[in-house]
Amino acid sequence: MESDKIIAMEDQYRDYLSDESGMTGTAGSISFPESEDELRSIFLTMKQGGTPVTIQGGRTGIVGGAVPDGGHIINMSRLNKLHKLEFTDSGAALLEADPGITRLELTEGIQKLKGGHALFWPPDPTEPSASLGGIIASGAQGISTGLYGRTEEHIEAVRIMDSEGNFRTVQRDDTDFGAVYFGSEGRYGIITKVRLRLRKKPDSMWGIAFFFEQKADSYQFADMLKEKFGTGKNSSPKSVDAEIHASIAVCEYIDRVSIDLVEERKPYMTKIRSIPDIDSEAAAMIYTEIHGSDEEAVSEIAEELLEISVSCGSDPDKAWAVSGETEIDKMRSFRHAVPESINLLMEKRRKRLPGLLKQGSDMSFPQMGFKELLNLYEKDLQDQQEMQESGLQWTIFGHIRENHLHINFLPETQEQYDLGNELIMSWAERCRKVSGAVIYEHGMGKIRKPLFVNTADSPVLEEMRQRKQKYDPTGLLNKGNSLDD
Amino acid sequence: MIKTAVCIKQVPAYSDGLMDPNTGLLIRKGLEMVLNPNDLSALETALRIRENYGGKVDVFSMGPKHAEEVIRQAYAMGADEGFLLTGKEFAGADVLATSYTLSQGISAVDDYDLIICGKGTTDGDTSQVSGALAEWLGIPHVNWVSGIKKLSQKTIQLCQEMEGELYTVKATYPLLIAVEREIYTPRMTNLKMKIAAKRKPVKTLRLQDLKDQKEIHYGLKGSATRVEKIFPAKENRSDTEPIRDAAGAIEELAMLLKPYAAGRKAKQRVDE
Repeated sequence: MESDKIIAMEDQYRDYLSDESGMTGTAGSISFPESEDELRSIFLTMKQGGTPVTIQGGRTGIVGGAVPDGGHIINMSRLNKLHKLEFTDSGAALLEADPGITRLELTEGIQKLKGGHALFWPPDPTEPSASLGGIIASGAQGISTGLYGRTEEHIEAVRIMDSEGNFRTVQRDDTDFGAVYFGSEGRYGIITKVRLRLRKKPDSMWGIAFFFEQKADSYQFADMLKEKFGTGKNSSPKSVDAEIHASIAVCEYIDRVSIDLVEERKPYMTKIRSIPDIDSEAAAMIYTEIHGSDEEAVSEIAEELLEISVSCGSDPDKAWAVSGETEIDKMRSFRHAVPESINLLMEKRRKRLPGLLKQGSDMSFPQMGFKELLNLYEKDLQDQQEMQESGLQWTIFGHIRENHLHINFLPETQEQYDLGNELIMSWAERCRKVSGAVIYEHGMGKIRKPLFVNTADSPVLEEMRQRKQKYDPTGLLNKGNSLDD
Repeated sequence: MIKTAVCIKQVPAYSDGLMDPNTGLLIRKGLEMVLNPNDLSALETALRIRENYGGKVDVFSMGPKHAEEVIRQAYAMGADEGFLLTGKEFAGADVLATSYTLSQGISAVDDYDLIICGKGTTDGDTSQVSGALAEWLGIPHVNWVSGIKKLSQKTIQLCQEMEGELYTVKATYPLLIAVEREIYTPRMTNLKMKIAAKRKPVKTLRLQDLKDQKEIHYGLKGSATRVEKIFPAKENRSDTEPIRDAAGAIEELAMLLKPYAAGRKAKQRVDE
């Protein structure tokens, strides 16, 4: 028994009762296993006592997936090593990593490995302290799926400890991987190791920011960009190892409210402090990245984007362009500062009203123009009398090519919060009707559970319940995530 | 119309402090190279002077061929002309040889009113090149410049920050200044100019383009100092004590930092 590893919940661990959603739970004890053996021993101890366990990584999730609902917390942050990097005969680069390693540690760690400096792991959910296990459990995708493909395409295998304490390796091609373990919020097993598929870094990377004085012009630019360069789904390389000549990798929309929130926080954020203030006339910003092996071809795409932006009313003298990893990282930090700044604002507001949890949408509407989608949102956000009278603030940012926008409400009262939830529910129903993805990359956790349950088809829910019964019959793993069993 | 030369350098984006034991030089192979961040502030200062008072902004860099990239980045910010001092004779230079090479290159091109350097480079980190360069050129220099107050065809008024005090300095041209990093937030590189920068020529200056062509005055041969060892600072964990209580962390940190907080009194003097 690992009784010395099981720590009674004390005040000094109270941060572990919450995650970025702002939700706070309860737990009687916590542990930080440093090996699979310790993990197994702790879990079986809990199982013997019938104590539910909540598995945590970096606690950067925004839907309460890591928030304990009583029982015991197993925090995986000390399982954070990189292991073997091997190159297969076919030229693939495979890296074994622990689930507790953060996105930032992974990126830096790869550089230090022998042969690693020219490699990277493409999925980039922008939050640098997200854990690898958390990324897989929540199904996080990030900003460059349009070019590199979905996160799961870059995972070769996962090692799982099941609810009996047995270990097994699940390959990406196994049915269980996609159906059971990826994006399942730890309901069916605990990830103890991951085998990642790395790729060669692009030789050339440009990051370009376009600014628009009219939001409508930015919508038009987004549509023209999608028309010219595709949505990514067809243009992604067939093989995860295929060389990319030159292609758009990132295409993000950021509205003025988000820009202002970031600029307010900028002096306190080391990485983006050196970015100058954005012209106050800019109503929206679109950030793109072009990656490729051919610098000339990358430059040509940049020129085409410049022409399109000018035709949409953007001032060419104001467009920013950076290249190289360090500068690109700075721009990505700016992009990530958007949800971070929103979270900090809501944390402040929660001090007055604890029930104001993170409130944002995570829906992807397919087969729709970007302008059409924004008009749809804005009709509800701006034109509805109830919205106008309530004073509820909101901001929009997100992934253009996937039509995957995060509408974040910034409520100050319970009434505003309730109104925001109603709107999100109405959009979810609309999304479902057009076969969109109601939950795309954040997971359901505990906060979006009602949204998921009310919009998912009954057979899907039943399948999930049956799966839970099969893989975790005692129901001790991550109680309360996704749906109530 | 003020003619300004800005010295810029290509440096590694980060370094583990690894050194070639034979030459004493930093190992830069495999590292991402960037424009020295302090030099961005120098360039921004020059560009603002040009915007407000007219003139031209040229950039000078000493380095291997790939250092051209920083000159193109300077073009993408708005620099007019760029000069790369390059050649195997210049390699391995210390402060003395670097400043001499730059002085030769700058003198070969034009008589500049103002030469602007950054505070120092993130790799060598001596902050000595600016002063040495001014000496070679036989012109006065002002370091720790934190602002430009006024400028005319004949004089320039600067803010100089020294040991917690603020001075206003008025000087005539030609003059070399080394600016603080925080003097201005450097502008982002512009897309239109970045695309144009790819086709804009970078002028190369080699030993034979300089007035003094004696190899012994340049590079490793012309250096008065040798780096014996570079190593990252060792962590001394025995003096560290983890702060375990998140709630009390702020108070505890404030108490620990209090002895180091410097009270800043800004006292202004005008020196001419």
